[in-house]
Amino acid sequence: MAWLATISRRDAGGDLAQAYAEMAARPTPEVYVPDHGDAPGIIRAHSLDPALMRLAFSVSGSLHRSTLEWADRELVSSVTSRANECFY
Amino acid sequence: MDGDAIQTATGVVAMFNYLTRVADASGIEFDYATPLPAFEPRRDKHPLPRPPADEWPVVTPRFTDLWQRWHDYLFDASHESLTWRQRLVLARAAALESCDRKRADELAEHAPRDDVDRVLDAFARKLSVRPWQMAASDLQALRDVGFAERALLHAMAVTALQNAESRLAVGQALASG
Repeated sequence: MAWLATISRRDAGGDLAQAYAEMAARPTPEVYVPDHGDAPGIIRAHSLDPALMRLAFSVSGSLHRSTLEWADRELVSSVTSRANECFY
Repeated sequence: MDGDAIQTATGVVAMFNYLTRVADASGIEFDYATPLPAFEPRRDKHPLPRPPADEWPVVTPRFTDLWQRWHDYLFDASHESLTWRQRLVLARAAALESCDRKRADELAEHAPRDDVDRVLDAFARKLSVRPWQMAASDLQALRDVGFAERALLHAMAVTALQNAESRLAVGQALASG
């Protein structure tokens, strides 16, 4: 359970259900698909504002369309997370 | 690496300063199906000391169109969850903790004025400088002064975004020599 109130994919309706569907339609490597069947926690954390969800993840998605190679991007994001002592 | 790759790498650093802070403040759980051992954060880590204010860089980030839309949305004055000024109180605290002279000066007039502002300021400073120590009680402190759950999401998102943008500015300045 997150500390912040969130709405699961199962309970989502209207614009949130639509936003979740858009997130799920993005190309995602298997390793980043959680096995609990709900939307990933970082996406669900934005569930109280579907417009914010779309905007934040449109930027993160755009960082995948670059000459920066996949492995290098993973390295940069991992080092950033570690500097912040964060599991994400 | 070409210019596009360097610009993207800078964006990834900035983006993960946003995502990690939303993860830490919201209390989501690790949920990727990775075969690797889970990373254990060192929650007793001391933040690196910030340099004196007169040594902070004066830099301005360049946003892509998508990033600008994200920024404009979170700093829009029409949201009911948090007022425009409350957003700027949060951003000012985050800019100060990110050693961002330009943004901190821009927002200088939005120093905390009342008890609610001071709660927001404390929240943003902790989330900026020692996000690994965030706890459920940090969100409860916002609820206790009357904020609803959507305001909590916006408070962490504004703070996290300012952290990201201050780092984007520094990264772009470094990348352009």
